[in-house]
Amino acid sequence: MTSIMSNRHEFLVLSYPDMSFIINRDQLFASIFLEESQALDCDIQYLYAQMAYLNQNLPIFDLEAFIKNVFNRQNKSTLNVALVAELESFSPENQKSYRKHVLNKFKNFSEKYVALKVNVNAVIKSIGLSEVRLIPKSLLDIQEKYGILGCRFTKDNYIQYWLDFETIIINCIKRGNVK
Amino acid sequence: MNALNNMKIGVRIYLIAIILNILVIVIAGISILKMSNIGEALYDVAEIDIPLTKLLTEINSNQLIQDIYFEKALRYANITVSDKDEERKDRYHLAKENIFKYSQKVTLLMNKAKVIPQEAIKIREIVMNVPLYYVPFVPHYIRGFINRHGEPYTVFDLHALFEKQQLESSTFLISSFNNDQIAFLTTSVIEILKIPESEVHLITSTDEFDSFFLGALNSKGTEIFILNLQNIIGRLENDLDNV
Repeated sequence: MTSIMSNRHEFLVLSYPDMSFIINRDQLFASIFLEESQALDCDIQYLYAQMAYLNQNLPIFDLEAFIKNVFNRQNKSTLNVALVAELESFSPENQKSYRKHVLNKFKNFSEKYVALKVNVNAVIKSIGLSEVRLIPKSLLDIQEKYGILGCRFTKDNYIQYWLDFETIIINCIKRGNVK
Repeated sequence: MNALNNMKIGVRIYLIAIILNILVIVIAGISILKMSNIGEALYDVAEIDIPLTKLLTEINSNQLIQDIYFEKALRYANITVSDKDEERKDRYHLAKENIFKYSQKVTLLMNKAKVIPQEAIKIREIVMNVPLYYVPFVPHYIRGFINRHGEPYTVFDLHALFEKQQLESSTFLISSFNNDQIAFLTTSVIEILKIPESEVHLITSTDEFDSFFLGALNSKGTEIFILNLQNIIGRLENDLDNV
């Protein structure tokens, strides 16, 4: 939700040692504690389990593992949180890709929602858009391609990366077979 | 005063000569210092301000000529419809061609003019002991980002690029090149030199390593290489395509 008057926007903040990540709040439908999930044997990178939510079967992508592999940051917390997103919020092209690579393979998966697992308690924070910076020109394309839209420097001198989980998920399913 | 009165005339003359000589040396020193400052300012005026003003004037006059042809084309276009005069039709096409010709000329001059201030503001500041932030999906010679006034700057480690070994330092040269925010990791800054182009020897080799340098010059017996930022960024673009 964006307040036009103050030009602020709500982001979900995931904090890790020396670094944190922000996700556009509008991309998410809900955030729930992940109590029960069923492991999944699948060749799509980071798609590791499924869970029941609102009488539907949701695939769970391991955002925690992505952060560990890409940013080398890990949270020691045992807390499991599932961030639920609506597939409708994906671009038409990405919805098509998701249908082709995931829903065609797993007929029991929800056509409406997808979940991401993190080990941190996500906090909703209102951040001024003027504080969020684009990635410098020479690295902009590559970072966007991998789902990093921008960054912000916090008052305690840490960097906060703005993640686009739609791109992260679509990259995983397009790569397929890489585990 | 008494000591002065007791001095012989010859000694007094010598004393006056010595004082005058000292004054001449001081004045000469101040003049040389001031002249060198003026020299630096003249360099900026001659190498940056004048060429830029010349180009802007040329752009302006070309745009005015383009404007004249545009007016002519409009006039001939109106008359052609009513009169169906072939000669005027030709004049209309000629005016139209000239508009495009001058438009291309203006674009070329504008591109040329854009380069001058870019060249002039390559290095903006030198910073030390600021934290380096990790960036994923980049080659080994990109060490991360640094924060300058809330803006991220991509840090290039040229030692890692040339020698395949990362540099241990926390001094950065902050630069804005082609609207890109970049910084270079360096050990230290020895001196800031302003050198006329005539003293620079261009590097013409086609070797990839040499392509990272524009040229070289000799200052106080030391050979100094000039970085070719365009090619260094070009190398990064190539490497990113393969990430």
